[in-house]
Amino acid sequence: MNHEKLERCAIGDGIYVNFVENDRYKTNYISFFFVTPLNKKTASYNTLLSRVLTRSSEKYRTQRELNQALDLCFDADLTADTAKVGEWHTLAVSLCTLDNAYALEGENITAQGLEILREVLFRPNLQDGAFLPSHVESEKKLALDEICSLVNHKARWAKERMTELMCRKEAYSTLAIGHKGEIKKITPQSLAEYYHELLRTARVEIFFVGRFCREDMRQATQDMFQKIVREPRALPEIAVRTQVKEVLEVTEEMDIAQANLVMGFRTGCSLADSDWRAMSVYNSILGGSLTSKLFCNLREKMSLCYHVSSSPDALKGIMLIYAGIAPENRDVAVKEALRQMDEIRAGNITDEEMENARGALIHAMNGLGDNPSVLAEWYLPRVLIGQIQTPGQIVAQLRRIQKEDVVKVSEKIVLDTVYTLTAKEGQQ
Amino acid sequence: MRFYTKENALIGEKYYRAKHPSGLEVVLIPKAHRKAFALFGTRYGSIDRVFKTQKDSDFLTVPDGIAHFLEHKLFENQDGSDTFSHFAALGASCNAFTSNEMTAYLFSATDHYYENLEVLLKFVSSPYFTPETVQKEMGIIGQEIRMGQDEPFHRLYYGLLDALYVNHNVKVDIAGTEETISHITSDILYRCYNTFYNLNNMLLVLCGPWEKARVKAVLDRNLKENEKIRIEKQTPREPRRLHRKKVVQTAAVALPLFAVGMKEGDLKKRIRPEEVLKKEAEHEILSDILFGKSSAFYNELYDKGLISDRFSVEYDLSHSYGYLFLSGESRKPETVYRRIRETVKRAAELLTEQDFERSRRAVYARSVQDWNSTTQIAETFMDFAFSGTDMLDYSKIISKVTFQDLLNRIDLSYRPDRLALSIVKPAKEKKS
Repeated sequence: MNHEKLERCAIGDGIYVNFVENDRYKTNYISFFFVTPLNKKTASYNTLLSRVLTRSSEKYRTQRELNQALDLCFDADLTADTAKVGEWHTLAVSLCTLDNAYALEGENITAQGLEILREVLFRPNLQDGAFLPSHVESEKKLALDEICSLVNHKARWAKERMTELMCRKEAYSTLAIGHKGEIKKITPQSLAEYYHELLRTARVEIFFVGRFCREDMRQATQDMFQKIVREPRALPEIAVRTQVKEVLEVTEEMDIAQANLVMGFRTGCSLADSDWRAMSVYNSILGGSLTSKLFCNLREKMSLCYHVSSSPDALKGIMLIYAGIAPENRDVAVKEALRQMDEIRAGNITDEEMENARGALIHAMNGLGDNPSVLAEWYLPRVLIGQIQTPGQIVAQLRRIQKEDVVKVSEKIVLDTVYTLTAKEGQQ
Repeated sequence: MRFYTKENALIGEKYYRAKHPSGLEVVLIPKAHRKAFALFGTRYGSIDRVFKTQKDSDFLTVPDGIAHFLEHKLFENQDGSDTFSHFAALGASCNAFTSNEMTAYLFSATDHYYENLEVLLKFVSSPYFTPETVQKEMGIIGQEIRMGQDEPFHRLYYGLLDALYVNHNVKVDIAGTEETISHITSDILYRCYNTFYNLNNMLLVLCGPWEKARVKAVLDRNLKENEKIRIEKQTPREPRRLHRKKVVQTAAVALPLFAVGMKEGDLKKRIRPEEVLKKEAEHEILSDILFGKSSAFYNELYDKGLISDRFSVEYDLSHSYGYLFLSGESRKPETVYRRIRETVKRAAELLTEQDFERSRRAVYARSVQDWNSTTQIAETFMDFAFSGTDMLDYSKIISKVTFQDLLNRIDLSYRPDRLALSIVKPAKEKKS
C-alpha cells in the first residue's frame, strides 16, 4: 500500500478529490486547496479569509472553543495558508489528525477531524450575512503586521524584493501574503461576498494522504458542496517571458551585518515543457545541492559565503540564485556565479557532477512519499496543469537525461535582475 | 554484538539496541518509510568549554564555538576529496548540526543504505585538520555568524539566555564569535576530537528500513575497539537568581519581538530517567494549559491584539539548565510580560481538572506524532538518549501524570522572581 500513486476523480464542476494511500504515517492528512488567479485582490482576500475562517465557526464561536475542539480531537493540527503557484494563488485549509489506531478509547478521530473541517470551511461565523467585524478587524491588523514583518528574515525579504523588481509588470510580483492597500479596504461584508464567490468559482483540489475510506470521503466532500451552485472560472495562462532588454541592477541598504545577493534569471522553461526534467538537473548541478558548482566554488573554494543556492519556479520560468556574503564581496560573487553558469553552457560538466545532480533529484523523488503535506503540495501544480506522473515515473525520466540536454536548457537562461540588500555604508 | 528489543504496543513502535564491541551504542528503529535515516552523534556540544580525560593532568579551556567549528572541519578529508560528494555519488544527502549538548552527523538515503552508512562512519572517524584548512573555514563560519546576527530571533533568544544565566555556557552562541573562533588551531581541534569522538561517548541511531545483520556487518568492518574513556567536564556554578531582569536590543525589525523565560530552579543532580521524563511531561502539559492556544491567557491577549498567532511556548530542559520559553511579536512587550507574570503567580488557582484532561490528551497525541518522520524520530530519540532517557517511554509517562503532579510542579518550578524579558525592537519607533 505504500506507493505514491495518486488517484483522483471529479466530485463536482471543477472540484476534484485526490487520494494517495499510505500507511507509514502516524497521521492522516486532508487538505482543501482553493485555486484562483494571482493578483493583489485575490492574494489579499485569500489571506484574510484563511485567517478569519480558522478563527471561529457557527458552532465554535470563539477561537478558544475551536482550539479546544482540536485538542480533544487528539491535537488535530488545523492550518490555513496561502501560496503562489506560478501566477495562480491558493488558499489551503488543512488538517492533520492522529490515525484512529492510536485513539485511547476507540474514538473515530478521522470522522471528528473531517467534521471540524466542514465547520470551518462551510459553516462560518456570519452575522447578517457578514463576517464578525471584530474578527475581521483584528485579523486585518495581524495580516498587515505579517507583511511588515517580512523584513525580519533578510534572505526571504531579499528574494521577495527581487521578485517584485524583476516581475514589476507581471502578476508574479504579487506577494503571496497579500497587499497592504487591498487588505485595508476589505470589509466584513466584502469578505463574505468573496467567500461565497470563492466557493462558487474557484478550482477546488482536495487531497487525502494516508489511510482513508475513499467512498466515505468522496461522499462526505460531495455533501459539503451540495448546496453550492458552481460556476467555475478557468485559470489564466501563466506568462513565461524569455527576453530581457537590459539587466536591472538594484542595491538597497539596511541596518545589517551581511549582504544578501539575489540574481534573477528568465529560463523560458516550466513544468509544462518537455525539457523541464533537464532544467531540474541543470539547477541541481548549478546550485541545488551540496555538491553543486555554486556550493563547491563560492563556498568551499572561495570561502565567500555560508549559504548559497539556486532554485527555479516550476510554473513561471524564472530562477533565483541567493548568496549571503560579506558586503565587500558582492562583485566577486556575482562574477563567479555567472562564470559557473558559463561553464555549464560550455559543456564543462564532469561525469561526477552529472551523476551527483541526478542522484540528488532521484533521492528527493524517492523520499517524497515520506511526508504527506509535502507530497500533496508537490502534486498540486501537476494536477492543475494536467501532467500527473508519480515520483517513480519521474525517476525513470531523470535517468535518461544527458549532458547535452542540460547544456541545451542552459542556453536559454538569461540574467534579468541583480538585487543586493547590503549593510549601510560604514556600518559593517 | 546482540540486539535486544523494546516495544511500546500502545503506539505501535519498537527498537533494537546493542553495544558494539568497539564501544559504540547502536539503536535501530524499524520504519516502513522509503527514506532511511542515520544519525551519528557525540555527547559534545557548545557548552563543553572546560574538560579533561582520565589521562590528562590538567583541565583544558577551549575557545567558544569550537564544537561547531569541528563539526564543519570533519567534512574535509586527507585525500582532498569532499564528503558531500561521497554521499551524493550514492544518492544520499548528508548534513550535520551542533547544539548545546551534542554534535551529530546524518544522512538520508533512499538507496545504497549500507554503503552510505560506511561513508558516514568513515568520515566521522577520520579527522584531518591543517592550519590552512582551519584558516579557510574562518570565512565560511564568519558568514554563518553574521547571518545569525541579522536574524532577529537569534538575537532575541541569546538576549534572553543572557538575562537568565550568570555563568552558564548555554548563553554563548553555538557558533561562537568571529573573535573566539580566530583562536582555534588544528592542535586544539585534535584534542577536542580525541576526547569527545571516542566511540564510548557516541551513539548511532538508525531509523527506517534497516536490517540488523547488515548493520552489524558494516559496524564490524569499519569500527575498531576504542579505549574506555572517562571525560570530566567543569561547568561554572550557576546561581538560582537571574543575571538581569531585562535585555533590550535594536535591529531591523518591523514590530518589537519579545521572549520571556523562567529559569528552572529544580535541578537535582541525581535523578532517575523516569523522573526526568515525568518532569518533562509535567512541564509540557502545564505550559500547554497555561499558555497554549486553548488557554485563557493566549485567547485574551490575542483578542486584545497584544499577541499574534506566532506566539509560541516551549520548555527546554537539560541536566544543568532548564527554562520555560515564551516568545512572539507585540507592540506592547512589557504588558505581555506583566500578564505572563500574573499567570505564573496564579498558576495553581488557574488549573482546572477539565483543562488538565484535555491538555494531557493533546500532549499524548503530540508524542505519538513525533514518530512520523524518520528524521524527526532519530533526532528526538538521540536527544532523549543523551539526557539518559528513552523516547519510547514518553507517551506512557504522559498518561500517568496526575493533576496533583502539576500542582507539585508549580510549587517546585514556577517562580515569578525567576522571569526575565528579552526584547528586540526597531531602531526607530515608527508612528502609525
